[in-house]
Amino acid sequence: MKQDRSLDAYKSIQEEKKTPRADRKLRIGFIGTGGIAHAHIRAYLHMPDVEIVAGCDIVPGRAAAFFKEFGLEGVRCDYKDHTEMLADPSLALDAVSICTYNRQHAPCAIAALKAGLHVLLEKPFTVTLDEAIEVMRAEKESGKILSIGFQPRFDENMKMIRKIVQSGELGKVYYVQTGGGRRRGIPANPAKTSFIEDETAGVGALGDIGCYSLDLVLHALGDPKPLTVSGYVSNYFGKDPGYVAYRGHGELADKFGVDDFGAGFIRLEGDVMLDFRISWAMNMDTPGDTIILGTKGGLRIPSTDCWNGTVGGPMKIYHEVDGQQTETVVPIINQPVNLWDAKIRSFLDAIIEGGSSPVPSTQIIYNQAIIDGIVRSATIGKEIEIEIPEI
Amino acid sequence: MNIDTPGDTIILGTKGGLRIPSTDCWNGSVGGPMKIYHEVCGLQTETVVPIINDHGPSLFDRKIRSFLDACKNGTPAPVPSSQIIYNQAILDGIAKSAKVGREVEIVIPEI
Amino acid sequence: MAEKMDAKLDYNQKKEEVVVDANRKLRIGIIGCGWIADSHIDSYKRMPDVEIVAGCDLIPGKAAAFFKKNGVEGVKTDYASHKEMLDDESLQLDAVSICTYNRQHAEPAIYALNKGVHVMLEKPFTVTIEEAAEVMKAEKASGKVLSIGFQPRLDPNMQMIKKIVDSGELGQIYYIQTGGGRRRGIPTPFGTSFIEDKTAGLGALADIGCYSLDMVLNAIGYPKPLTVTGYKSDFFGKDPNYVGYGAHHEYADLFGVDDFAAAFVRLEGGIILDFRIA
Repeated sequence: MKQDRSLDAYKSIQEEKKTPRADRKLRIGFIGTGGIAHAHIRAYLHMPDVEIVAGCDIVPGRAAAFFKEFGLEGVRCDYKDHTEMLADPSLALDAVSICTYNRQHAPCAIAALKAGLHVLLEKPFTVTLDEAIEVMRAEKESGKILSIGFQPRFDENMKMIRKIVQSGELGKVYYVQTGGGRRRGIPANPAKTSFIEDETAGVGALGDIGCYSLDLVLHALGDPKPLTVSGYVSNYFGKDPGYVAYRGHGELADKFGVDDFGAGFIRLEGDVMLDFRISWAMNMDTPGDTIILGTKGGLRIPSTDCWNGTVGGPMKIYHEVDGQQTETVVPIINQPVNLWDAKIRSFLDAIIEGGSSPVPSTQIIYNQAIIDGIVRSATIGKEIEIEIPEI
Repeated sequence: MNIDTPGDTIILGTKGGLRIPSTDCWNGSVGGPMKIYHEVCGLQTETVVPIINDHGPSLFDRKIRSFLDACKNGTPAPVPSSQIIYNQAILDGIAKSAKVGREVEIVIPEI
Repeated sequence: MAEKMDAKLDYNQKKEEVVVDANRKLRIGIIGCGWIADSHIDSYKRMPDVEIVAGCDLIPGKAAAFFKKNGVEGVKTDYASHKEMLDDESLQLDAVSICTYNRQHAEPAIYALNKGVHVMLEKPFTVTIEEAAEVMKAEKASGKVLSIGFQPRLDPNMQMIKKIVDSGELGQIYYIQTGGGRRRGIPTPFGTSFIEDKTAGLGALADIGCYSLDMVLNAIGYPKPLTVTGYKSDFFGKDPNYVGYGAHHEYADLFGVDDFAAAFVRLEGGIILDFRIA
């Protein structure tokens, strides 16, 4: 009898959230129509149950040009900012993709959630941990879906890393080393400085590519809470007017106000040490592969020339078999799935089925806490304790 | 550990980076030719630093010899304690920090 | 033409030769006649200006057997401790090599320095920083030579690392990553002195970690370390089935040090040192 009652309760929760969508398309809006928005819209255009109805950008005319580029007509984009767009009830939006520069992630996400919209927010989550907490509060109050854009979550090889760790194949994991980055890869040119200025970006390499490495290992470990961070950041390359990729535009060095290199040493719950460094620029090809050391096995994940959004080659498990030290190769899985399609689809499905967020803020908050912690620790030159308040 | 090596030694600088191949054991020697990663006329390139074989006496012989010479000639110790105290401070700091689970400030006692 | 060629050959072959005055012999003693002492005595035997006059070990008879094995005669070894040996004025010792286990580095070094004897001390320096400071005080008071056994300093390749950094070729150094270690390399060649807390005090850190640290710290001019966040573990050492123990499963109970350590160190001059050793 007890069992029946709980089943009933489960069913009723399902009925509450489930809103049949078979008969109509989801109405999508864009906040920010710059670089990464292109990847979003391509994926949306692959979906049969989506209608792109509106978009806005703080650069006048950019949204209009963006939708024209993709041959879309009748998309409402005569808004000067997201506030105006969200205030237009005629749009009847279901969800937005937020593709703005970092410092606008939190304000736009909060506004959209308060307007009762589901949100697909690009990475990094926010600039500071405090902002992330505010977004999560808005999310909780709204009851809407907030998913954060880590498309490598849908990569079969990345999933395999988590499977291997969670399977116990490595035993108890105690030490993880990850990161990497680019040799000369500061994303800036005279026409585009939103990634390197403090007032738009807030964080540099840490937020642009560092978060991917962190997500790779944190998610594999089961999203443990970070406890302490000792961190370092520097900007020698970004502040160098002679930086080769500035191509003579020394003024970019003056505008550079974030990190081009960050490093951190993090204690994770469960007695795991995480050693991390990421660079937009460095005098090295790679600081090394990602390695996950456990009591029964070690996993080597070949570094990629850039951002650990994919696995750089076949992985290896180093372990002992019958007293012999040996390695087991984990071959690359060739997958037909387009990561962006999967990311967008998972978000849409979560809205339709009333499921949970595919990449939930409850996990990504730890990623953000580490980035935030590295910056704060670097500022004072000491380790800091990570504090995540109740949401 | 369950890995072959956690990686080469790398020294990152503003003008160049040095990669020192890891050795299977204890970094008492260089594991292979080193590489300097740097920018030459706008190109990212690497300069190989070949292994030096000077066919001299063994390292231990040189160590003992340098010690004896310092004793006889009144010259400073070849590997002075004023340097190694910092090495020791790090080892000691690691042990202390690991015990309390927090970062420790390194305090070198007055000599 | 022929003259010029010869001159070139001469130039290539000319080496700086250190002239060793074999008439001035140094009287050497060895404290601790275990594993690494073999390397010390090997080298001493090749020096023309050395007379090995004494040796001692905590294990009775070990010193005598050691010198016999190494074919060195006329060495006084009937001492119960290093104190007895250093107290023996008749030896007229100039210097000692200290090759004991880690926890016996500091005390004999201090005693020898206080007796006015030069000291060649094996690595690691000591177990704790407090011990190291005490040794340095004795060194300062004695005015004698204290050298610590990092033979890689004499390796031309290791010296090249320092030359490259000193030359400015790398610009300003801001981040260093070093360490490494062994996959299955817990050292139990002759019992447990490397793995027990009461003899070793530190494990991988002191046995091999100090080498990696010395390599990079020496290269950058040994800046002062300011803060450390550290981690240690002993999962392998405490495993009775650790493959390297063979039949000695009891070693796991005796294992009392680190078999893995990692750290994030802030060095003076805005440099981060990232380190792990196994």
